[in-house]
Amino acid sequence: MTASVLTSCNKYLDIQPVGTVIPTSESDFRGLMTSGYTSFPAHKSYLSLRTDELLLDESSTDAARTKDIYLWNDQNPDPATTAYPYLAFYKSIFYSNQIISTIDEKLTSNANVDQIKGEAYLMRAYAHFELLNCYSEVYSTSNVGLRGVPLSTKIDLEQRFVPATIGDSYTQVLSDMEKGTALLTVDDQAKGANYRFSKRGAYAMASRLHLYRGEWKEAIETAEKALTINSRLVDLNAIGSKLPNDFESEEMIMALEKVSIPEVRSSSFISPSLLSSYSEGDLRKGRYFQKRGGDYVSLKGGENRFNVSFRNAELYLTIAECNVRLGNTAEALKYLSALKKNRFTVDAYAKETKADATLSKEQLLDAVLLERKLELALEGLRWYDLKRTTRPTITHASFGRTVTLQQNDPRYVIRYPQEAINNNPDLLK
Amino acid sequence: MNKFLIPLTFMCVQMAHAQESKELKGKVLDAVTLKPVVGATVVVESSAVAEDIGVPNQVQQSALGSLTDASGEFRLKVPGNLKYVTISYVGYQRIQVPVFQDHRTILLQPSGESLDEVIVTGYTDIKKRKNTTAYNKINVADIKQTGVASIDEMLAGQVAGLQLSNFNGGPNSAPQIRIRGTVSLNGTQDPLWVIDGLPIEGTELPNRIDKDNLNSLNNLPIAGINPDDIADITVLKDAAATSIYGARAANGVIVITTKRGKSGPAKLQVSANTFVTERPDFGKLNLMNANEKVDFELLMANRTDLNYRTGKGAVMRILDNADALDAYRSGGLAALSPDVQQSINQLRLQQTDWGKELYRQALNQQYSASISGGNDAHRYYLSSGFYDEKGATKGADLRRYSLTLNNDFNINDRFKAGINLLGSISNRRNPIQDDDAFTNPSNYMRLVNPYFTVRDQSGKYSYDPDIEGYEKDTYIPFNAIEERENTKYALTNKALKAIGYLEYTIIPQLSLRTEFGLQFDENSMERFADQESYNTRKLRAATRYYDSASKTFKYFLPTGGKIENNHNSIFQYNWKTYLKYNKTWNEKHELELMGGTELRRSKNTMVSSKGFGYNPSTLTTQNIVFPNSNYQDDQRFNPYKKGFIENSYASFYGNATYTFDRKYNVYGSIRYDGSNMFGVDPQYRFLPIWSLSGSWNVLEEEFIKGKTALSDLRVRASYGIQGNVDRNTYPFIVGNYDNSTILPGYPEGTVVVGMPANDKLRWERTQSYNAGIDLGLWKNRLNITVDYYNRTSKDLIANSALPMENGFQDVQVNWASARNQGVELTISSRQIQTEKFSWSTDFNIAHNNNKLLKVMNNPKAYAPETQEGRPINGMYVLETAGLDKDGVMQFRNQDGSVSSFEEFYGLYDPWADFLPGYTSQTSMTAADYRAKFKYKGSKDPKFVGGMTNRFRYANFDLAISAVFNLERWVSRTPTYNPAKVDRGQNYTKDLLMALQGKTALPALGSISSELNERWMAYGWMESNDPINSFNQYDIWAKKMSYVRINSIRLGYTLPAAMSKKIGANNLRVNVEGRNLFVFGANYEGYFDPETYGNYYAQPISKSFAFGLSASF
Repeated sequence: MTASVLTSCNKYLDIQPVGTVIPTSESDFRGLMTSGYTSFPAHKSYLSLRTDELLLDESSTDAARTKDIYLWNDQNPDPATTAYPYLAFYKSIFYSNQIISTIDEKLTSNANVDQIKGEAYLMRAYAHFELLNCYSEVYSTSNVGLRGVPLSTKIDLEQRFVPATIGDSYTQVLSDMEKGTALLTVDDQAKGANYRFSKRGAYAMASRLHLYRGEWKEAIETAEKALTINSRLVDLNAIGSKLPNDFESEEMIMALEKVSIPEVRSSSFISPSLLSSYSEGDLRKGRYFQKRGGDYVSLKGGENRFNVSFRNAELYLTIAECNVRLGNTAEALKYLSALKKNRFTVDAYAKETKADATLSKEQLLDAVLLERKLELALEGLRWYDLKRTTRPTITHASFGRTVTLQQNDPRYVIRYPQEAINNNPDLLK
Repeated sequence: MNKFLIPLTFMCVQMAHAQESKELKGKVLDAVTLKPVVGATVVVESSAVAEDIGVPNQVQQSALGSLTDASGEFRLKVPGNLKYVTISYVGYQRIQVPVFQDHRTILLQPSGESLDEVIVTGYTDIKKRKNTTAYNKINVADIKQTGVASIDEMLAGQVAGLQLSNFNGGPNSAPQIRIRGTVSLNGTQDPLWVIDGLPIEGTELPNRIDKDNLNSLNNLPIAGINPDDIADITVLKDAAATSIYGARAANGVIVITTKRGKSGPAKLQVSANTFVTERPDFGKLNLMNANEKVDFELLMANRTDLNYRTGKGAVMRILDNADALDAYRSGGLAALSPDVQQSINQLRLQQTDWGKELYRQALNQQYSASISGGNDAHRYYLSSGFYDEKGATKGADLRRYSLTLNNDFNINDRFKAGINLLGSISNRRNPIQDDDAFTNPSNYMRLVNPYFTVRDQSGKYSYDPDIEGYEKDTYIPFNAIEERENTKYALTNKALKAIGYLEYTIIPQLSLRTEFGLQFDENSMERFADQESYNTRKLRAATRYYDSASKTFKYFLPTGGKIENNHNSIFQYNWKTYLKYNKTWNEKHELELMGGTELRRSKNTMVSSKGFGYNPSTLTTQNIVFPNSNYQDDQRFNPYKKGFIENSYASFYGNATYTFDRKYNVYGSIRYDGSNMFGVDPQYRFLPIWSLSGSWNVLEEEFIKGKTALSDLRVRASYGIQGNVDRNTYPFIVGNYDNSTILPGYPEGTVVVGMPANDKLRWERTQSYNAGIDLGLWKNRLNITVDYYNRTSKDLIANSALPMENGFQDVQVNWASARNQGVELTISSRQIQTEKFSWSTDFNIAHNNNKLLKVMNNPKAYAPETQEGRPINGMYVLETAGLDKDGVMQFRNQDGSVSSFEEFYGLYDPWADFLPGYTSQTSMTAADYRAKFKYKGSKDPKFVGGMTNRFRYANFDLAISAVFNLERWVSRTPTYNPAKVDRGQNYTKDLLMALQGKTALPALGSISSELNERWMAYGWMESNDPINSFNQYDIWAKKMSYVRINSIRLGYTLPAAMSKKIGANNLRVNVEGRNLFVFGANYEGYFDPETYGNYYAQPISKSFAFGLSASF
């Protein structure tokens, strides 16, 4: 009697609030994964301010928030300064952890479920990888003992987050990447869904990771795996061709990240040094940039249409670079030339290939790296390329003040944001 | 319907029986004072007479009756065969008198003084002699005020331990009510309101009132009820009194009982009042007038070092236009051309009366009428009311129509039933206000230059060139009057509360009662801003984009106005059923038992829609064409949104009272509340709330009975648990469905997790002790009640910072603890009571001491928010030590030594190496900064209370009520910031004096290192200080005490002979003045001590009322 009263009472109290859910179905888990993608930060947009690609527009109201990023003032930024993304990475990781830890008990394995779980692993790997790129030294055998980033692989509010070493951090990233890639069932995402990981995206990510770690062979292998699925490039000579970083372009692999957000766009111009690097007949200059007043602004961003994480051109350049480094200049030239064919006018292309053929190995490496700068301008990769290669001196001026990032400056490794340190004193350990 | 024809029937019956009836004449007097009892009912009960109505086998029952007049006389025609009549009046024992001949005087015995008063708990009523709890009961007739729309406002100063704060004036403000302090940090802090047994939904106000929600329109369901329809209010304070309401009652319960019909002939009661709301005294703000403002600007123009917003202000514009600034600086006014001098002097004369432009004197009205009456089988009360108030602030209005219908039926000896319907429609308006502070009229009035005119010579609105209305670097023109005329912010509420009950007496000691209550509240909010308004211009500027094709800037907001409609619909039902059992043995043991169930479900549906390009003539909007997909997710342009909140509760409860020999009372109460905590294991859904209490009626003891002047002495004590739950945290991961567009044209469904799971979440618990004494002296001419309470709240839910690596910055955890302890004293006395003259006084005072026992400081905060051992609402200040030679503030350190500004804040120039003098920074950490603050005192008053004196002389009556608030720390908003005095805005006269060096206020200065040696200090004050601590200097803080005479009411009741002439039983005229006087600490610069420090509040206005009321 009492039991039946209680049961009926509990029934009365069972209200599924509209719009609220304890994730159980396949579509709930897809929704969680999509939240993970949505949460992913636009850190690369801020990184562009640290490179030689942009000039600060002092007259912009947004300059107050971006000025200290532009000046590499990470130690004592103006309180108005936008903090570097940190929480958002771990928000995406949180969604991954939630999926990884519960999907097996709620759902039985099938192609869709495996794909979601695979994406969750890859998201966790990618978010940690990007944290490493921002907040740690470059991977090298001598650096493995240095401080990496805190690893988050389970949900437990009472755990401590002490930064792992670079070596351990990468072990975790590689393991997640491997598990995730093995689970994926989609080779290539359809247009509109191509913000998600596919096998092609997973290989592209692996290729970049190996490149940054200086593992040239593995970088080539994984890039080739991705290109086996689709190796097309946008031909800028074609009438009506899309920008290569448009999510609908034929060479887009994964269009997740906002690499040029309004706050950064409105407070900056294109630096003359970048503009002058484009040679005569390079179609990109006219397609990427536009003159406004006396300065140039970018046409590559500002809308989510131009989200980009991986695209084929980068893979071509990765293969070219790694081959040069391995001494296979002929192979490198093949890939460099394949890209240039689609980026230059016919005449200019002929001139370029002729000139490239004569280059020494060192000159060819510079040429490939220059091509990376030109091709991937303002896509947020320039900072990483500078950091992993020459770490040059960069000079930024603002409000009559000139600040220099010295050659090999320690600020190539960004300090953990103060708000993250405040909430987790273990970060200083 | 025929129930309402009773007055008619009554007349017919009288005529029908004319031949065989006789007339009864008599006079009714108070048996103790021998004064006439006015308005007593003399009635022939239906059981005593039944007449044939001409339909076979049917008998019409009806009441015959009369009321006594001003001299206590009555006349009544009764059937010849009648045996007796019944005479009754509130506060007297009802008696049956055999039918008599001639004229007779009948004495009514007062009903055992107030001992038979009952405590209305909303469940069973408890006799006062059995009381074990802390409560206050208020008769609404005693506290009624004209020109106050809602009953909550009238509670000010009436109940010991109830603190009522007005953060705002005007007809649409709602007071914040706290009973015995605050026991929750993040949960609701408002008391539970119960109307005729129905707990009301939607009565919570935001816990923190700031400028952004101060003037937003809310409709509190309480505001829909016409105070004229309320009979009495019971405030339940301690755990023993509130535990029957379970988890929702941790903040106290206010029980409202509406008026009901009484057996007797139909009684018509009408009242009409008009009241005049006075325009506030603009002079109180102490602002500079046009002449002073011109002097001020001239002084500013002379100061070459003050380089903040140098081009602002009319004087500077004149000087700049004439290129005469240098001439003025070197040679003064005399060096200027006559034209320029003339233009400047013209400003001095151009005094706009902004007090008149923005405020008004308004004539308002308030009417209500009711009919009540009935017989043994059916009693009714029907009323309607109209209330119309225009606020002192132009654009703030309230209009309410209300209708109340209460019916009670005695179906037979065993069945009783009844239904109450309370319906109302309210229309509210306030001026529109957006994020920019100057759009608030109260604030703008302080900022606007006195010489600035509303319209230019051609009659067009002139736009204030000195305000900072910018959006995307575009200056947006603003004119306060245009804004008011071209915008609309209105809220319409349609409300209906229906409560029905059915009671069945199984055996005389045992009865079953079931009550079903419904509440509907439909709130429709409209915000409209026409094209020519700052509001719309600003939004339009925000839609500017660069069109690559045409290489120009364009706007994507369609031409026209902007309209927003929000509809919020509240529905709830509450069904409770309980058994009552009463038994008395051997005349010594009295037992009352009650037990039952309650089911409650509420649903709140919110729909909001927005339209752009709105044309007020065609009432249509246009579609927005976004230039690119980025704006698609922008909430500002989201045309439609819907949301639900649904909750359900199931509760079991029971209580028992045992009384031994009328001396000792023991009361116990328990309630289990279950609610739909989504997904929570059923066993954790139920929270037990219980209490135990007892009282001792000392005077019932033989050894003291009748031996003292004491007429009442009762000692009470109670202990209980109160609780609260947080609905926003779950013990496991819960997501919300949402949408997101990562790539244009491909919207995706998402599941968003807004909170980390906390599996250690518990209910908030408050342990509550209460001890009290009720004392009556000299036949209860003097009554004194003292209560002491101690409420310790544990496991209070608050935010705790979380390492961001969790994916969240903070989590709600049960960690805080607080204690409220206090003393309450209530005295009511009837000092003088003669037939001609009487004087009585009600007085109450309460002290509450609130202390945080356990808190966690936010490590990121620069200023202390809360501190262990301090009150929840503590004030923390930086202690100053006078000005130095440059007029810069010095500070006293914790060790008593004095530091210069720069030392105190640890200022240094971080860029000294490459760009010296550009910026200043502190070497302090957040924790160092926090430690600089000193605790000053509580922002809650130390003592609150009120006093009402009532006088009656012959037919005149006078009531004066006062409210007081003692020793509350308040802080004024500094009128200026020394580093950024904006010459384009007005200030108080202090600033003119500061500029002239006549006050001890910090001197004005520049942030530029070239112009000012102390640039670091000024740069800090200007913007580098992360918390703008200039506002937290101790010089702004002050201990505020005030006494407000909130109502003086004089009434005159016409002699019976005169009111008879128009057929009335009673006719009364009254005049009333509200808020006429406030005595207290100096509150210069503000309208009222109650809203001290607040620039955004509408003034609390004075009003004068004239009213007429009559009963027939």
